[in-house]
Amino acid sequence: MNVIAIALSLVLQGSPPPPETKPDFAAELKALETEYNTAQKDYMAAYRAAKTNEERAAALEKNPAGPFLSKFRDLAERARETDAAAGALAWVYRLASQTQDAKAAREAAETLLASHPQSPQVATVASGLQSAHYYGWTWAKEWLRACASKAGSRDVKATAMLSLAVTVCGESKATDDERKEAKAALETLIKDYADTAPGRRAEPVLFELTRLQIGCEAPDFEAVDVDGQAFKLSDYRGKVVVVDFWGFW
Amino acid sequence: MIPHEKELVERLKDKPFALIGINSDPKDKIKKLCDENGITWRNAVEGSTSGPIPSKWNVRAWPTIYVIDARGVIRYKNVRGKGMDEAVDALLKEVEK
Repeated sequence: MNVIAIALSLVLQGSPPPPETKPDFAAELKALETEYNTAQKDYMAAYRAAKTNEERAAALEKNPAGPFLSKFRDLAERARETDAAAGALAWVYRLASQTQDAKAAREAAETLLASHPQSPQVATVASGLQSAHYYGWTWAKEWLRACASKAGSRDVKATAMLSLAVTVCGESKATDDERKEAKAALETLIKDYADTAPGRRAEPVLFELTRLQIGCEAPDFEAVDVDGQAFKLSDYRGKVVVVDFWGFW
Repeated sequence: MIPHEKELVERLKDKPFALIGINSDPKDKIKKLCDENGITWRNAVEGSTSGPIPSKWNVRAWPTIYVIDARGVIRYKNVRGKGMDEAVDALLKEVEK
């Protein structure tokens, strides 16, 4: 009788539950990237096909950057602490740069640095923030300082230091202390990081920071004109001069 | 850009003023381009955006503009159009004082 009871109870339980499926965030990230790239291509094609200003304006309304920023941010939240989250946060940053969403960019940058300081994705933000002065993103300098100190790789540290210097150099309202800090960062890059790409870019940035600011005597240069005549900038001392870096392209 | 520069050079032709272009077009095309487009001001032929002067001066955005006073001091950066006119006129007033 016990055997029958056991057999009955087994039958009544039904089949065993399926094994728990963990979400594959890496796959989800890849799928979302593909989806965005397709949407972006379609958006660009629609814009190019537009023939009137009205059509162009209508095409611009369909920019996928905004909607996809939300999707990547959502994924980053669900995938938190995993590598996929770092990838998703870098995407949020990229798209926020495009749409000039300072708040979203800052949150993504801060979460990325706080939760994934060793991730190579940090380089995306460190590099992007060299344009912070164009965007008016005043939070960027603090982030870059933190990044230079926390980042895992020398390349990411160097990228952060260069971006900090570049954004200070480009900011007309930078303070003297900020300029000193930028100068020190560039000197460190030249001295200790010459083996990195940012290290190799430091010299001209230092030149601009120290010799090409308003109030500096313009450094002399020598050049050859379209008729093959050599001339110097200093030949024009005594005149008001506009030096215009340009091209027909 | 070019029309404004032409106007500026013409307007100030009798004043202590010079427009110096640092040009990044290919060396073998630049003279023809200048002649065809009526470019009357002096241009340094750098041959590319990474020629010696733009490299040294860290020029990454094109165009980039520096306005220098008669004593050789940089006084304005990246002013264009009306802003450039006002900057140049202000500096010319200093010379004429």
